[in-house]
Amino acid sequence: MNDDDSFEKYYSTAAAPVDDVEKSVRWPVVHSAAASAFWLFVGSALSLVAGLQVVYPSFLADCPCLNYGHTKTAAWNILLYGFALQMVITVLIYLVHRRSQTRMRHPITSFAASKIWNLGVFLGAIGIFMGDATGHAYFGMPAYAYGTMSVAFFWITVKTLVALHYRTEREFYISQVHLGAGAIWFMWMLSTALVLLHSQPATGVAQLVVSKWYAANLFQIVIGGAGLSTIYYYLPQIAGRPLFSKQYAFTAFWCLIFFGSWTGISGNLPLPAWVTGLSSAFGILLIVPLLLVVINVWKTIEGNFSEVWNNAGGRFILAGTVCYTFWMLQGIIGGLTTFSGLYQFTHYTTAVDTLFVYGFVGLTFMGACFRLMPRLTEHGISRETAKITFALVGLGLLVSFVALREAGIQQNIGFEDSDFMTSVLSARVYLQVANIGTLILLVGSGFFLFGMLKLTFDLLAKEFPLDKWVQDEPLAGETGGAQE
Amino acid sequence: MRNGGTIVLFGLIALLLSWGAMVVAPVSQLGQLSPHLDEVSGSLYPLDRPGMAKKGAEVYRSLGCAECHTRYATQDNLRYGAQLIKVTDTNAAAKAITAVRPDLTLEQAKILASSELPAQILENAGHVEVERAKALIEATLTNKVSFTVNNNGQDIERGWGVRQTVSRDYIYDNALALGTLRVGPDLANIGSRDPKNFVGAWSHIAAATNTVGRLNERRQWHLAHLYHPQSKSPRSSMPSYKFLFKEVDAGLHKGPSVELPSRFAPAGKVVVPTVQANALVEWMLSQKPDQNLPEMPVQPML
Repeated sequence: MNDDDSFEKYYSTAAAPVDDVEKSVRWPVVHSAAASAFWLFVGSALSLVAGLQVVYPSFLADCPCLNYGHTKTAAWNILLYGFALQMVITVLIYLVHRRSQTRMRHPITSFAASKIWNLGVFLGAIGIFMGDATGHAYFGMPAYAYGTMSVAFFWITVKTLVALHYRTEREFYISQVHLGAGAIWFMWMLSTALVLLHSQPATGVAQLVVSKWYAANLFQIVIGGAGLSTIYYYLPQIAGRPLFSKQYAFTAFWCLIFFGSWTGISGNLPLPAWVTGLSSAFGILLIVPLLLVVINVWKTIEGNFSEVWNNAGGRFILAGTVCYTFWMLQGIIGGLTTFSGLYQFTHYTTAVDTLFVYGFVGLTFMGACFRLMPRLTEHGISRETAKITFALVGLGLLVSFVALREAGIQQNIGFEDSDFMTSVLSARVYLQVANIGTLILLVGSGFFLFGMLKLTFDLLAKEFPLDKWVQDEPLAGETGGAQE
Repeated sequence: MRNGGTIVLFGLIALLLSWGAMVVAPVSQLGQLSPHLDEVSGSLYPLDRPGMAKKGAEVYRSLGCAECHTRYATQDNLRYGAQLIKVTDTNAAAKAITAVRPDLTLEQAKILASSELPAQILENAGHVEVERAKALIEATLTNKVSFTVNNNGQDIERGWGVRQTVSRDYIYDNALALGTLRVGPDLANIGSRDPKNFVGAWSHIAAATNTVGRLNERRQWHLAHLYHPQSKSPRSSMPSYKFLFKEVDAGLHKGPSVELPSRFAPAGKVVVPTVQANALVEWMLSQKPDQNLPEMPVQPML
């Protein structure tokens, strides 16, 4: 391309046509979406293996790489970094450019960043199986994995800021703000965690403070924020009317970053009382942004509910919003000292994590993928695939969540009333039911993976048609050459 | 919201406030913790773990044991008691006791005041209550009262520790792996728990639990439990860690091996722990945060 063209195209303040914007971000977005679907499937499979190992302790116990401590850690870290955060990257690249109406420059670099991110997740998973896990919840992968991922995310953050700078409308959309803040926040958090948990480890339980702060901000600001921006972008679009209140959305954003970032260190922990007390108090304040989000979404879709529900992506995103509400409520209640004591140490925490990963993150971002992937690949996806995926993920989530929650409650009753071993055994039957839920989730994520891979291969087949390559090759003994 | 600068500025303020308050402040406060010097015994607590136990901490982290085990004991709020330690005026003491303990008659109070000292007057009370008791009884100037503490809670009752674990207990831990879920028992005090009552009641007798014989007994128990958990705890849902052991022909091995009940032992072979298994057990045996600390006293408080 000549200089003139590139300047006009990439540095112009005029809004770029939607098609051009989408074409420019196509490869990094499609790659990230397909890769995260792949990791969702892998993570769910490992989660099922870990679930079986709790009930049948001898299952794969002789294999040092695949013992329960490794499969469980790998499953959750893959679900977090391979699936959830990669979905954040997917919508981050897509929505920021789409909302800024600006073309991505040199998309090949973002495509490479997406590849590097996946290399990081792969290294992390292998590292965990080889015994390099850190032992920190939600920050379990070894330092070399996070180092690799941080290189990728740094570049994606730079590209995000460039896109925001070249936005064609001066007014910010709420989704741009949530995603931009989340990107910068994540770089800060990741570097803090890498320094204070790896290169210059903090003293003793100070590491617990760092890892819990990291986890809370990862959930609330980075993943939570990206999920909300997806909800704010797609639900009004599907309902066919603008977001009910921009003020509500921005107030909720400020509440989340000012209050939400202080939460997550509550409970009966060996830490100074002021830390847990302060964190717990900020947890209660989260009711304000939650109410604002709920009212905003409700008022936006009110009256057009059936349109949203009958839309392939809309159904996912709406269910994801419901899961977000329940997850936030669990967090607010669990943050209270009375209740955190009740549910600490039990499978209840796994139930809440399942609600977050499969419910809020899973459903919301799957909905986004069912909207954006057909546009980017210019290929349709059958409504049946979306419907079956929704039914399976929804059912699996319901079974898993209810069973794990009940397992946690039984465990807690056992803690109080009988000896410890009885409390462990009383949860076992519910864990078996939860495994059925995980199996359904695995099949659901398989359908999702199938859908995403099909679209990706359709795009690949269109852009790089095999028959053309074959035709280009002059056959032996034939005169002439490739067709011009 | 039009101005990008304003958003960035307030966003950064939010980030720095949260980071400063919830990361920098606790990390620097906890970084200043040092071992406590007990002025009565002259001992320092905690001490860094020996090399083998430190290696064991790495094995614990690496195997992902924290997915099932926590290693911090909890307790309810601290409660207090009061005990008579010196009685010169029995009548005055008895009268004061009835004021503190309305459930006792003057006769019962007299019996209490003249019984063998120290005599417990109050237990599981609030600090206001015990301070009032001390003031009333010591009003005679010759009777003396000392305070006691009560550490209560599920973990304490279950025998998983004598007190809550506090930040100072962990100052030498680098591979922290505290855990969040209790699929297996808490391991905070596994170093001083009696193997026979592994998950049951446990009483803290520091001197008696540290003899060489008792330690070896525990070491053997843990090694056998790691090799085949159900050999020691039939209802256990812990997986076997056989890959931490070598099975050697009985005739070829002369050194120490793991003592197992015959139906769990491999035929014609002896089970020899690897360095990792030994390190893990040494690390477990070094877990005993049960000392009296100013921030978390234990009974008896001197």
